[in-house]
Amino acid sequence: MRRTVTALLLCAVCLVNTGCWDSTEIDRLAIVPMTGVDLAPDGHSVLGTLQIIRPSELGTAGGGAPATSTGSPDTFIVETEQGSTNVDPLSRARAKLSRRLFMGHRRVIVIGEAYAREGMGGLIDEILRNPSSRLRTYLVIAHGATAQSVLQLAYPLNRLPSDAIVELEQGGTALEMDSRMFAESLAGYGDPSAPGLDVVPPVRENEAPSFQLDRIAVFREDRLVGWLDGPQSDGYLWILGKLKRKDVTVAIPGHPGAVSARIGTTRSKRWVTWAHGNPQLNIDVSANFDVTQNTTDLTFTTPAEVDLLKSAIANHLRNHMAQAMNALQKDFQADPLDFADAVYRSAPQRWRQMQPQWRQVYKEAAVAYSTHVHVRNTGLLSTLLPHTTSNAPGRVQ
Amino acid sequence: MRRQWFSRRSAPSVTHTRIRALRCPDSSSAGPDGREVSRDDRTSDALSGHLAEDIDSIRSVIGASGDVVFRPFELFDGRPAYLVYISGLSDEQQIDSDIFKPLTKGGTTVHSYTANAPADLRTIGDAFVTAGSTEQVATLEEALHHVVVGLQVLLLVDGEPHGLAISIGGGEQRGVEEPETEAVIRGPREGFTEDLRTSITLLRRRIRSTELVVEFRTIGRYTQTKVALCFLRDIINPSLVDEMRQRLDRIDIDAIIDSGYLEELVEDNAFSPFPQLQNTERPDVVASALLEGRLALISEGSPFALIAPIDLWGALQAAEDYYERYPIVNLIRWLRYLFMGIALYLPSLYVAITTFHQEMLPTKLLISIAAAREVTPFPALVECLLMEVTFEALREAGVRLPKTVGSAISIVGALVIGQSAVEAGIVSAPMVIVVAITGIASFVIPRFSFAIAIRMLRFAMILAGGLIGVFGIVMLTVAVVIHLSSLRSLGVPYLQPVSPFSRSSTGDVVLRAPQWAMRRRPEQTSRQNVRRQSAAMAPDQRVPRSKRNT
Repeated sequence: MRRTVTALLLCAVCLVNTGCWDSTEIDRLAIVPMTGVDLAPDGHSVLGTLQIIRPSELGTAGGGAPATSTGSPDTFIVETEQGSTNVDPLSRARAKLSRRLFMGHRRVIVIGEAYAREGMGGLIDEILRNPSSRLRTYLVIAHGATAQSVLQLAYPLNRLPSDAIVELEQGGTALEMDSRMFAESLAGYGDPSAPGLDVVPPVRENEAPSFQLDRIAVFREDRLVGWLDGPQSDGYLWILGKLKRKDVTVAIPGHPGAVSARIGTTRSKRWVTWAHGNPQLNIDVSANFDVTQNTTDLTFTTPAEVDLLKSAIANHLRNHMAQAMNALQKDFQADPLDFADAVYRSAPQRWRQMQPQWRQVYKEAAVAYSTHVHVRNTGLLSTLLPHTTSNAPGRVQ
Repeated sequence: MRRQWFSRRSAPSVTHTRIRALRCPDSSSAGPDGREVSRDDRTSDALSGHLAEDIDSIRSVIGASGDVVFRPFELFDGRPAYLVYISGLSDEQQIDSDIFKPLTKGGTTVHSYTANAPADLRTIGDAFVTAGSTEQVATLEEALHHVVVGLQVLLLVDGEPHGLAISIGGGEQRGVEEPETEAVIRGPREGFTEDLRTSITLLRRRIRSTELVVEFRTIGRYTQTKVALCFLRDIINPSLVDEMRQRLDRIDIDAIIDSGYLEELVEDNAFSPFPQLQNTERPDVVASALLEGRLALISEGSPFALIAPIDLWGALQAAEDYYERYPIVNLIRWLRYLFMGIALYLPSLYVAITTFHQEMLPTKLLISIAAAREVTPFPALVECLLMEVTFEALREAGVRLPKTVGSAISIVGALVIGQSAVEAGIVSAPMVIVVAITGIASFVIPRFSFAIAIRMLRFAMILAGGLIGVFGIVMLTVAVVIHLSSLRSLGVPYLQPVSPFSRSSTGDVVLRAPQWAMRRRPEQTSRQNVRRQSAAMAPDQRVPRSKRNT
């Protein structure tokens, strides 16, 4: 009996003496939703920027509405430090903060363009090694700006700007790229890419600037070499099959006006065939569309008319994809679509011979596009309307 | 020195032996020196046949109590006689009509053999007394036993060296009511009462079989409580009955006030937080347990019958599960499993995750909790314990207080815990939600004694979670599972039929199979007779023969 009691007491004392090593009360954490990486002015060290949440501004202790309104920059504070590695600035910032830095909820890393052009290897190494970094952290490259300036921005529709970036990346109109995917494409024979962030100047005078994701940063190995935007960016997403939510507007030759169609499901495939020892890059995209507006004189009630629309959309897609491929092959000689891996898989021996001069081969490789466009819902009701005037608003001339 | 408090009470001193033997006839018959004190040795006890003398000796033992009635009267043949009984425990009207009327001159009209041939006691008992049962007693000890333990009426007649114990019955009892602790929407509404006879009647009415055995034994030196051991002879595994008989025979205690005493004295593991006997007020629950090859203990003075052996899964089965149609019962049963998990784990997980594993929370939830905790002064662990203890106190107060005050307490409690504490910044709102959900969840468990185990373990879980995080919760869970797998109820594994696995009896664990599909009884308890029903009720058998596609 005495032995049992002694044993139990010893165990109890052990528990008390732990001091709860790892335990941190949630109100002693400095939660970091987003960090930024920039090249320091000296050209070789790293400027790390942290965004830290102020929870009291985001929620309430006693009930009722939170203290600040959505889109307020009061919900976070920003700290910037310089250091020789990516971790160094964090440890310097730690000394300035009363709370423990908590990186477990970092969802976004913003990378300044200057830093990206110097090479992302150091950052990716930190993300892969550091256990407190999440592999699912999204990467965003700031176009023509520093991460430090981007992290100061609030986003008018989300309480935290990091949420806005995540939702934009997942929204189906931008490229979705997290650190794991980035590291994977670095590890393969191809090159990585990442969404590019643009700072949008305010429309009205007293408004704060905001941001949007509408371009794509193209890397050669880990260095940023250029940007795809506009049709190139769309074409790139078409080839990846990642464009989910977008309306395509096309003109049909011989019929004045335009037709808008919404993307339903898309699927894409890339593979390599060989012609006279040279690789030919094949891109196959199939997509479903619903017609959302029609200002032409066509009613799409006959297969022939629908075929006209199909071929117009197919041309549109092919045009955008060709622009993207052209930029990638000719301007950047970058291969973010991983054709290198496709070549390797298709003919490993040839790949080994070809590898040293791959960039040149890639630049000159022919590209074959095939598109399968299906138009499902063309809409019948509006054909009953009397013919509308040709200069009614909403018409695309 | 070790285990001193388990040892039996030391034997009483020699001088008290006789009186103890008198007052507690069935107590251990071994004297302090180990000598057998059998009844035949106590011839000095025999009734003398002199009425005044016998009455005096009875009076000397129980006469000090004001509720013992000594009623002298004159028998129809002129002899003086006495009735001895305890007032209130026998129906006065029946004493009047069954004893006085036939035995006195006032009540009898013609007796063919009156004055010249005095009736002996046997004749009186057989021919005159109209009560249900009579028994002759020869010794003072027996006589007292019948009055005090049997609650019977003792008739002593001058010149007879025997007494007559007459069962009258009656006395104040509670009627059969709906059990409040196990209410059902659909199903029988009667419950056991404190009266053993009534309870057994309720059981007999449900199982009208010659195989239903009700064994009586008397436990408790002072209370002389009758305990009934009930089982179905041709279903139950006989070794279970032997085991329970042994455990009951081992009991040597002064009193059994409620069946709760019995539970603690016969359970397998006295230190386990988990109940190893099920208590129920419902005769239908006991009946269905007997039909599964379990046994039941019903004790005088307690409306709660005990059922053994039981298993863990039964804790989440309510009586109503078998009276309502099976689809909804299955859904409700899954709900109970879910909420049992919540009742056990939610507060500890909340504490562990918010203090150790913040990355496990969705960002927005983390921020909300962080905002709510911004102003609270205590660590999450302290806050959680504070709230849980307050909740337990509130519940306890609600149970103990008179019903009229109970509602006031719940209002005060709700205001104090729910609102003021949050507004004053003493506790955070998410913690209140966690404690409230946990409180609701623990009421979802149908078996109250099992819910108590969950409640106790919850506090251990909170401590483990607060001190070493989810790791601690997992460790404690492993410990509990190990304990559960080594736990037995009346020798039957507590986790059966899941572990040890028995395919045929798992239909009633996660699922409640339809009645027609439960063709076999639980194997562990009813190995000798497992077939419950034929396959004739299966849905395909109900299709008219002409329409069956074979």
